Amino acid sequence: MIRKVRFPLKIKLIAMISILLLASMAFYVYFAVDLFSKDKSAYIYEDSLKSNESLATIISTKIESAQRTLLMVRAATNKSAVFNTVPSFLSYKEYKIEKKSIIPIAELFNSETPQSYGFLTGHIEEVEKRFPPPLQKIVLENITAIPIISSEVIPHFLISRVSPNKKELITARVLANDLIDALRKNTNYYSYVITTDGAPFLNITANTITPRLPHLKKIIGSGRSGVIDSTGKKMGTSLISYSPLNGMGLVVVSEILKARAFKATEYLVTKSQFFGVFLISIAVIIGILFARGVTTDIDKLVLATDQVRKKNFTTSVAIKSRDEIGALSDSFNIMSKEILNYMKEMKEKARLENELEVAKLVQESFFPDHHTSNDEVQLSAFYAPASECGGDWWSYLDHNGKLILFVADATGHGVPAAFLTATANCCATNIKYLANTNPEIINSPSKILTFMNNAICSVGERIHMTAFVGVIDKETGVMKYSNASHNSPFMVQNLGKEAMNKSDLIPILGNIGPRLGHKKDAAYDEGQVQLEEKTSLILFTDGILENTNTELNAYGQRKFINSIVDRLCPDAKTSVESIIRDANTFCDGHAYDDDVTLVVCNYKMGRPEIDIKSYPEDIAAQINSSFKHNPHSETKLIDAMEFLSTPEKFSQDSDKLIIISEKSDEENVLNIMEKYPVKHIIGANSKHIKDEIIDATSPKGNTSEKSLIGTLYYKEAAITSTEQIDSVIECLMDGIKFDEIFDSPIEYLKTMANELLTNAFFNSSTEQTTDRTTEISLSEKEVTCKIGVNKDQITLSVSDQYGTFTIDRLRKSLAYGFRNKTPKTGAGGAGIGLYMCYSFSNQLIVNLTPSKKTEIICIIEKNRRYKTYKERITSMHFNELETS
Amino acid sequence: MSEKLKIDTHIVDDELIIHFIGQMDEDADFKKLLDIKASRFVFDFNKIGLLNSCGIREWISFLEGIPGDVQVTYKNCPQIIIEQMNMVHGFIKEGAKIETFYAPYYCEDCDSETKVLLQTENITEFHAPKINCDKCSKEMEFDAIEAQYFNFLK
Repeated sequence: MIRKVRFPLKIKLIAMISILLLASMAFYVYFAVDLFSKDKSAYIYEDSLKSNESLATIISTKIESAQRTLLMVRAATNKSAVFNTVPSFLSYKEYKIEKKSIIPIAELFNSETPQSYGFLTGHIEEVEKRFPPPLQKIVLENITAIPIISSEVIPHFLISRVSPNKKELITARVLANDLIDALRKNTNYYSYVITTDGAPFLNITANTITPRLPHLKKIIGSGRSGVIDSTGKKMGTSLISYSPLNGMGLVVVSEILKARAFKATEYLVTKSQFFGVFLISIAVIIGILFARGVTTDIDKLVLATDQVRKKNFTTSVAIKSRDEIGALSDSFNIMSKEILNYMKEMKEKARLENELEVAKLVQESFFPDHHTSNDEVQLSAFYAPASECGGDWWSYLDHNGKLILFVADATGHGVPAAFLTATANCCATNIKYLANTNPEIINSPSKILTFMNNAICSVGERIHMTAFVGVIDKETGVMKYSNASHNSPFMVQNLGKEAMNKSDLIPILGNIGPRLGHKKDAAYDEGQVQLEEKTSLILFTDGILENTNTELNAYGQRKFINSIVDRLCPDAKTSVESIIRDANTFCDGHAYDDDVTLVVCNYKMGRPEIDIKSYPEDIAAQINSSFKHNPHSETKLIDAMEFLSTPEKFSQDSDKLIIISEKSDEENVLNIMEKYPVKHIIGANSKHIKDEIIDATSPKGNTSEKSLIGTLYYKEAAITSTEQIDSVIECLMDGIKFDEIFDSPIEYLKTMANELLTNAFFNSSTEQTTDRTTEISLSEKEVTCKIGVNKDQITLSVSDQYGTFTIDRLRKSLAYGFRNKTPKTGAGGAGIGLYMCYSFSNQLIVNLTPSKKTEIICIIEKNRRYKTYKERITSMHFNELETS
Repeated sequence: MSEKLKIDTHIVDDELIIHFIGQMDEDADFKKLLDIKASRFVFDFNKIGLLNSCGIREWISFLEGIPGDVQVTYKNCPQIIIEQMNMVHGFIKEGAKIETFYAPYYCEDCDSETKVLLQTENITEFHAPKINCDKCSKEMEFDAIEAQYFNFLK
């Protein structure tokens, strides 16, 4: 299922770019504006101070000029004309300073200048009376300038000069218009002059009183120029710059509202901020456009993949960008085309597979039933192609007392080889019909091969076919045969009468002619063998020999022959199944490299009488298929109920019985094994009942060959000292993968291995010690422990090289354990080790080669349930093997 | 012959708690435990490994040496110990109490086996208690034959 897009990539990109740009631009704008503000602020303060200092210089110059003028008037001889020369002087007075008083000695008043400002004649004289100069203070403090502030009089100030000898004082009232003009000149500032007492001296509006400054003391007390911020309740914060007029007791002050002073700066900052926002907006818009540019292409890809998901594989996506997205779109388009091509190929492959399947079905019709039997002959075959169609072929014709056997193998396998098998099959059918008019052909295998050769040569000479044809006279047992370069079949006589070995395997050699299809005029010779009663023929193709396991080792003739020797029995079907099982076990699931064909043909084997009564259907089916033609005519299969109901009937032959039991382990041991020397008890719920019967009736019993016990895992170790037991067990079991089995079988395996190895050492020891804590070392005949895992079971095998463990010892040991269920006291063995092994095993097998070897095998069958493991009735097999 | 069974003991009040670690075989030496005076022996088998027949003999011999007035308790008994309890007479001292033990459960849905630690008091009439699978929360099946597995409780 495809998830719904809740947070599109486009939004993610836009958000990411916007946040990044916003943050960086905002930081930049803030930083730049802050720097700008600080810079401008410093500039404004500096400008304010300079402006104030400049004003102070002007004021100072003007007052000093007036004072110099005052001295000049004092020195003038004609003082009456002073006002014509210096119209800004409103009055001039001279005083004689005596000890107790200051006496005016001369005075002059300007009448014209006040009139030019609209004041009446005598105004200055009146001012002199209303605002007399503080003469004593002037003399005492040497004051040079005194403010006269009144809205009713002409704006002016008083200047004075005390003679150096302190005997004479001169004063003059001076028009203040020049100073006021100077104060007014810079309209941005509200400027005024105050005395160092804080009293107003001069204001731009002579009528108003200078506001009292909050930082007056700081301004007057500093003695130098400066700028301060002053916050007033009504006006807000002001910028105040001040400069003292040294020696005059005056301070020039300029005030400006801070908001006004910074108005231009604020304007610029605001503009900068707007510009910043503008830049951010531009950046965000660019980000959006960029994100759209990227995501539009991705959207196209998403839509295209959606189309592909809807099986519209013709979809292609057009993206022009030369970036990764563009490359991805190219890949997508190529992939779409490849999918289309692949689908076409798949369609073609499916068609071919379908045709092959049909061909396989057709080819299957070339083969007769794989199992057949009559009074004279039992015939069973196995055929498996390496691919859908094979190049192996086998068949038989039963005609007029003759059985004609065919086994053939075309070069290679697959469809071309299968065509040749069709030709061979066609030949066999034609021969059957030809025999009606030409009986000679059916009696002559060489003529049959010649007939087949002609037919195959007509198909072409590229592919050849090996073939063996045998014509058996069912009555006399004479088999004529002819061979077209095929593997020589084997013949075994007197099957089942005694244990078989390799020398019983007789290859049917000679009379080898060229392969079918090799030469048109090929001639084939005939041979002849006599088949006695209980003779088995084994025909095969080379596939079984050449097939390999996962390590690419070929099965080979040696293993094949050993398998035939071990597994061949009077039941052809069982023989085929067992031999193929061995080969498959070796191959361990590795696919066949070549087609496999195996045909076993038993001649006049007869049928032993075996009583099989009330078994469950599934068990009966297995028993019937495996035991129906048991070669050991003396061996009888019986169920435990029947045995226990009439044991006397079987007691004489109890060692020749295979008992299938539904009883518990305890009942099997105490009621059957302890009383009777039974060698084979098979749990009725065994999943491998058929294999167990086959193994029980095999002359070699169940062996612990690597290929049998461990195809998935195998380890073995030879041990010479009891001290090694624990470490060897750990080593052997380290690495086993317990797949498809209940949890913790390793605990049971370790216990069984420990018991069997300990017993093997103490039974093998020549020191006759009974103390189990004593270390035992074997100098020559070591004890061997093997552990193997295959797809069905885990197998543990422990063997010594003495071969002294008889069936009676097994019976007694198990009987002690199940009866007493408690260890023996004393220094020897506890006596319950074998009882534990039996209880923990699904199969317990003893292979005894007297005086040579005792091998005890414990098998835990694979299943996922512990319950199934515990429900399994343990099978016991005691195989006494001949010393070879 | 083999690495010895390690026996850790702790005495709490008048109770002797004994942890067995490793394999119980012929080299197992339980005698020193008999020298410890306690009114209660608690055997903890959580870390026991392999048991062989001679080890079982030593064990039973040790149990027989425990004075009759000492109360014996078994706890954390793994499956292999339960097997031995059911197979071998005398593995449990007469009058002893089995407090906790492991039992196999199987979840069909998950196709997995789990060893569940059960309290003996939760077993009634030899029926395994219901246990749910940790993975799928469905009820698991007791994966042994109840009459056989719980035989030691008789």
